[in-house]
Amino acid sequence: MSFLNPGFLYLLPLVALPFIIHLFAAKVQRRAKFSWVRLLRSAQYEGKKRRRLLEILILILRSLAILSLIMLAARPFRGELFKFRYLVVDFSPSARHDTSKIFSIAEEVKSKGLDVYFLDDRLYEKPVPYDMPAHFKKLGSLEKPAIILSDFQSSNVSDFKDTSFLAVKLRPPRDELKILGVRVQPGITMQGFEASLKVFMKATRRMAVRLNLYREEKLIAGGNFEVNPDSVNQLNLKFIPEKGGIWKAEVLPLDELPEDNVRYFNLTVLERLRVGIIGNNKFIARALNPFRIKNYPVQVTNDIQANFAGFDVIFLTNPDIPLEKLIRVIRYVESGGNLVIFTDKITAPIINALGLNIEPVESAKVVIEKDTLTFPRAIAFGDGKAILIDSKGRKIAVIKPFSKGRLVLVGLPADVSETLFPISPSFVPFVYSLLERLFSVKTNTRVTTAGTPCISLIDSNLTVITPEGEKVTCKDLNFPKVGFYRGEWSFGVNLPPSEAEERFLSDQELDDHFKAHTSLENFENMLRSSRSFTSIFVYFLIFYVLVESLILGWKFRL
Amino acid sequence: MLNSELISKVKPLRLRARLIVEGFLTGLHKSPYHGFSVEFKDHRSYNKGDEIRWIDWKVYARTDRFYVRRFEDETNLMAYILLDNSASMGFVKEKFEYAVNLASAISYLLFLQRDAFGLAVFNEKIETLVPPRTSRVNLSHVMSILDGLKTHGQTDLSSFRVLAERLKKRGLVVFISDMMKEPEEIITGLRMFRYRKHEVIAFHILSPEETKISGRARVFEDMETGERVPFDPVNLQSEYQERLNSHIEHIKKELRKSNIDYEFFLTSEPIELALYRFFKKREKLR
Repeated sequence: MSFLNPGFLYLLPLVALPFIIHLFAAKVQRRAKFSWVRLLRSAQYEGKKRRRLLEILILILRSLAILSLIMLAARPFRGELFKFRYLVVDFSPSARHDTSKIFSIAEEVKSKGLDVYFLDDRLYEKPVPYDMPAHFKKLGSLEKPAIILSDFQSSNVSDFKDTSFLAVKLRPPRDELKILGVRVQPGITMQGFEASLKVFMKATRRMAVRLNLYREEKLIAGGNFEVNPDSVNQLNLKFIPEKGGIWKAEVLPLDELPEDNVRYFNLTVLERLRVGIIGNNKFIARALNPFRIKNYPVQVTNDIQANFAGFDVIFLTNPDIPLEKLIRVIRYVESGGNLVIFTDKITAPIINALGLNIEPVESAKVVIEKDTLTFPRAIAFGDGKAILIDSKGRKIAVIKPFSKGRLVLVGLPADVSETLFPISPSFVPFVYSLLERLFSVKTNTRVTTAGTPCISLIDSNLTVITPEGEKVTCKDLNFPKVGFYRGEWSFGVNLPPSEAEERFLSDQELDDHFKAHTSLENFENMLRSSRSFTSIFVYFLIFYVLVESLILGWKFRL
Repeated sequence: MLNSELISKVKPLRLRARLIVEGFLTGLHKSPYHGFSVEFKDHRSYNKGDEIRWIDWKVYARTDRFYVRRFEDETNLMAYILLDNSASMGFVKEKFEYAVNLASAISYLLFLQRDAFGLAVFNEKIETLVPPRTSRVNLSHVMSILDGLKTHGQTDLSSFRVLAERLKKRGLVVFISDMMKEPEEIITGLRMFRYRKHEVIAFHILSPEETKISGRARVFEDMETGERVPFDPVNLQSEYQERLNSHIEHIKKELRKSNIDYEFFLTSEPIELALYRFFKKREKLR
């Protein structure tokens, strides 16, 4: 049993009050003279026998009456206490678009909630901007239930599944236009946007829409957009702006256009990382920029020949390059450039030329023949103070610093041909991780797009040791949980791999989901239970008053 | 009949007694004489002017002549008023006052009848004893004693044995008390006078406060013994009244068994009315 107002339980000792008064009153009785007390004693002796039981019953009755009063105030009910503590207000552009009075609604919900739903006095109000689920998590995973004021457009309802909440839909979408939590992440690519749109259209069973793009409420572009669910049509998306900012995309049907069918996409273009590749390795280039998108965060230039200085990092996919080019690479590194070498073998002249001081560990299965160092299945990772280890974490060699630049040596298995590169589906996130960790560049590649290998397959034994000596595996690298879900397009970065097969909820399922995870039902149960208890106590108090009146009437012969 | 409140405000006891007696006599509309005299003496021939009610109809039936009954000379009656002044009589002021008024009224009545009357005031002993006299001086003496009485001590009727022995001539004993004592002790005490062939009248005086205790629960202390008993009048009223009634009934029954006249007076009843009721009853019995 729980209580809506448990504070009143501190009054429980008052239950003993009738007994205390009875005992106390007996001790402090006033004195009076009487002519012959023998008669009184005899009457008392006679009466006591008959009245003792009645007296005790009355005292118990009075105690129970006090208990009833306390319980009426404390409001018991069956089950656990359910109090809303948070009022989460979705302040995303979509939520506030046509609801400029969102805070007044919030106030209304709050005041209603305080009366109707027993909101905790310590109610927190926190406007949640774009990334509502992330903020929602920041609220401390909400041990206490929350009222969420949102249009539930940019958030998948499953983000809230671990929290009891009362959903207040600001603007319930029409059934035929229900948006099922498709999220578009910062840094979305054109393909990503298109895919998102496609998912939306599939969900709303629309094959053609009109897409209007606004910037700060000003229409800057628009056009018809037809989608074949099985293909990607990029033609009509050329007007996706190169600059970042918050853009409103109106996805409109061609025939009849409902006014409330507006979605917002955050199309933020980020700082780009300029990557040059020596060796014209198309697989590396594909991994870094799968669709060779011009405005992709990682801008790749293949087979650079001359100006290394224009690149943030240079990928050397084949160290067996002419000496002249090697000298330029060395100068680039010495002047602060970043070099990543992908290779399965490295020759002594290159090692010497790069100034690497590689000391192979005897136990390591590093094959050295004819001045060539061939790695077993291993990768290397370092910035001049690295330890070269193999895939099982065994130390292969120690690479000593040679310059102020940074160098990463990625050892590839010797038996892998170039055509099969990249051999591991985890290669791309690994490369991005390298870029982030080594070059302090925010690649912001948390969202991948079509064709990106699924991170759920990252369970290889890639292990690296950081310059600080920390041993990390790919699993620990906090790769984004991105999804390429069996042919379905999805951009929900927070969808765990285990739910890769998660499909969008049908209307009924959505309702069921809300029912299952909102507190209304629990709350109604709680109130119903509390009401039934209240009735019991009220009936008892009526009974008590009647009994007490009868006793008084009998005593004073009213 | 004078207002009883007015009577109670009259200071001189003698005057008060007179007012009471005359009050109830007015109510009776009968001769005050022979009120207590019950001793039949002889017959004499009816003369014109005699009251018809004293004609002995049985003699008339036998002799066909009118004879009237004559009673023993009033001066032959020796009356003793035994007044209880134990502490319990002072439970409320009115209670003892009532007893004193009753005693004084009876004294005055006896004086009017030219009966000799004496007074014995007792608690655990005979505190004051005035031998029976018919004189006016005696009346004044009795009145002055009654006027100055105060309640104290415990009721103890064992001293009645000595008193009963002292009363040589048969007479009338008027016992005035609240009888807040064990019934057997009271009955035994009064029977001592009956053994001596005295006629005994017991006046049982209680105040309404004693018959129905009011107020909240408190500890009651016995005015005579100091014994304490916690008692809740609200809860135990009926039991108390039951006990009290049983106590009264027991005394009444036992006294009547011993041919002792018993009369219960509640102080809320005007004294003259109570006396009127008493004499009417006696008249019927005669």
